[in-house]
Amino acid sequence: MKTAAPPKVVAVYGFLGSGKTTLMLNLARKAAAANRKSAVLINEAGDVPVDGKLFTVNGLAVREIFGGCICCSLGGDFIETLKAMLGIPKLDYIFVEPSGMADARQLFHSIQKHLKVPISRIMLLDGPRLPLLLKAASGILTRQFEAAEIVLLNKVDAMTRDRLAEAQELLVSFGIRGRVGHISAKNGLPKGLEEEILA
Amino acid sequence: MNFSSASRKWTVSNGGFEPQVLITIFLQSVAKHLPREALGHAKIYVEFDGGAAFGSSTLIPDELHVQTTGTFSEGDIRIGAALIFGDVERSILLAALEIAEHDVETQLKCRMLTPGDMNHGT
Repeated sequence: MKTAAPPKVVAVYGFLGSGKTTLMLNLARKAAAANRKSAVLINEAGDVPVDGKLFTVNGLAVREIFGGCICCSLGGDFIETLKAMLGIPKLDYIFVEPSGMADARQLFHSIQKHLKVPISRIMLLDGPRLPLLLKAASGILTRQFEAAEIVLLNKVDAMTRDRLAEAQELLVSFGIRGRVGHISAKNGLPKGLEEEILA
Repeated sequence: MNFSSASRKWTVSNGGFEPQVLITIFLQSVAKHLPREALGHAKIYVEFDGGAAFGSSTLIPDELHVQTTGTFSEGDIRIGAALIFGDVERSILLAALEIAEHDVETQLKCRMLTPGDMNHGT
């Protein structure tokens, strides 16, 4: 008997305020429009479920892990929760949102070690704050870059052409030489990129 | 970078104002009272019968992102807010939440009750 394919796991991560929730919501809506079912696993840094409520009112099944960070102190809870979600029947996508301070490299290593499932890794960068972030949070960003499959510079709608060119130069000087997509998550993704992520 | 977070929940009885207005006042107040270049995220939801409004801001630049599902007409609202910032002490985040609460109460002439307030019958 043929076994149903497990849901595709898509992790959207990035520093606090980079637009992870907005992008995930857009991707889930796109999936829903194609009659695909999504669920969300999020790590809320505090104990008030702001993002969880946003996903819930938009009709998504949500699992939340509160406080701490799923890349370290809550790693066991995260793995167990994701494992349980992988068994949900007729689910097409699981969108994972680590907290904005997560060590993505450690998190994905842990998933590979314990669950052995492929995971799409999308890193978001807040374009307007990029100079400040690269200066003040370079350690976290370096580990996030190292774990990324796709890097997206978000909120480009709020940047002038000069600021965008400056951001590109900063990324190169930081050692990011691969493809960096430019997006405005709140306005939707370019069609090809959406298809690439949800493929 | 060391991260701190602070969060709180409230209810407001029969608020006669749009949830988006409350969100804007709240986030602008938080932005005013945190260090100018603090790196992090302020988030808030306002839940009402038939929907909810959500707001978030990185404070740099002073951008506010508000989205709403459903239509607010009247009745009690439930509010939750969370601040997560790097290299800002938790005491400063808690103070920002209190100041924002005060600013909302003053400008919207309402009372934001925490679960503790309600347990004590105030």
